[in-house]
Amino acid sequence: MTSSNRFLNRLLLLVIGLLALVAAALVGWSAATGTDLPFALPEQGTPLELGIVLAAAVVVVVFAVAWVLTRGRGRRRLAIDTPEVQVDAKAIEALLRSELSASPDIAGTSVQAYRVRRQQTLLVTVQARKHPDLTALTASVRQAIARTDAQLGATLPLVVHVTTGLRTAMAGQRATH
Amino acid sequence: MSDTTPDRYRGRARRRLRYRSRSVAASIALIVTALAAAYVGVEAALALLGQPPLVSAPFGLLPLVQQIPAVAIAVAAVLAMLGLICIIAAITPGRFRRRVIEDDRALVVIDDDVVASGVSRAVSGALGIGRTQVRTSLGRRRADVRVTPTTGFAASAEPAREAGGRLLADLRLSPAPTVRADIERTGVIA
Repeated sequence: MTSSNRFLNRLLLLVIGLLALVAAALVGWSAATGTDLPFALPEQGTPLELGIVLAAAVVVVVFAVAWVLTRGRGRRRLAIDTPEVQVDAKAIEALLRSELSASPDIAGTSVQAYRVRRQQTLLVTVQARKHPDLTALTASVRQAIARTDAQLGATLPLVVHVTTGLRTAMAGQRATH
Repeated sequence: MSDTTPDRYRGRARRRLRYRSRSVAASIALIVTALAAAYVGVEAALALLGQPPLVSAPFGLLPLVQQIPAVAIAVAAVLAMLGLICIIAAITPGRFRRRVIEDDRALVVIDDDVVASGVSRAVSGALGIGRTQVRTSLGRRRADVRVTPTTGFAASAEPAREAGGRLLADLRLSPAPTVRADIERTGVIA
């Protein structure tokens, strides 16, 4: 749900993977084939060559630091963020949680607000117990959303993720049958 | 302030929740590369300053590794393996084991684990047996339900398949799996 560019992630992986393969070829060539490399690498670097290596290393490190620091963008505190009204995502979480508390198959609910490409969304994570009554569960979730919409007086863009989780692993099945 | 989930946004959100972003993998690969680059950079700086190297000046590193063929092969093998892992991660789609429940109001995504668990419940209820006696595994297009019957009580696959199929149809899953049910030959004492 974050704003990371998926294509760039994969492009970066591809480039690094290819570089690793090239490095593997350079290192293993003479040992594997018994012949020398078809081209010669300098033994001792001239100051210029050393300078180029150092500059390249700095570029890589700076790029890596910048990249890692820009991960995980997109999370927001506010579910509704307008000049007139601001609503915390945790408030919506409390609303949904109380609506869903009656559902015996739901072990937990959490809400996280995101803003990706100027689109505000809420990710609602619903943790289901083991062996849930799925028909009832989905009905509960739909009802809870409808009631929350009515309370807010607005239909916010929502993404619901029904999952298992640590709580599901620890929790039992529903207590009443 | 009030807008329902628009369609073009749904497509993008669907993709993001169905497929891995490879963000973590890319970050790890980049960090490892940066560490290697940092080391080479330090060696280059030391060589430029006329100081003794940590291990060897940058251009001497390759010949140093190649001196012992066994080491060179080992290093090359590790590099090749890591490189292949990166390339495979880049190319494969990285599907999460999840699917979409068709809904007008919101995008609803459900883990395959939860669906399988729910199918087991529905099947065990329909057959009147314990939940531990049913195991469901959900592939992309098909749910495989294995029923271990109670010894002495006959169980047939058709009601099991029907119960599972009905549940899956009610859920309106996308992609919609078919159901296949098998009864084990040996039962359990209930």
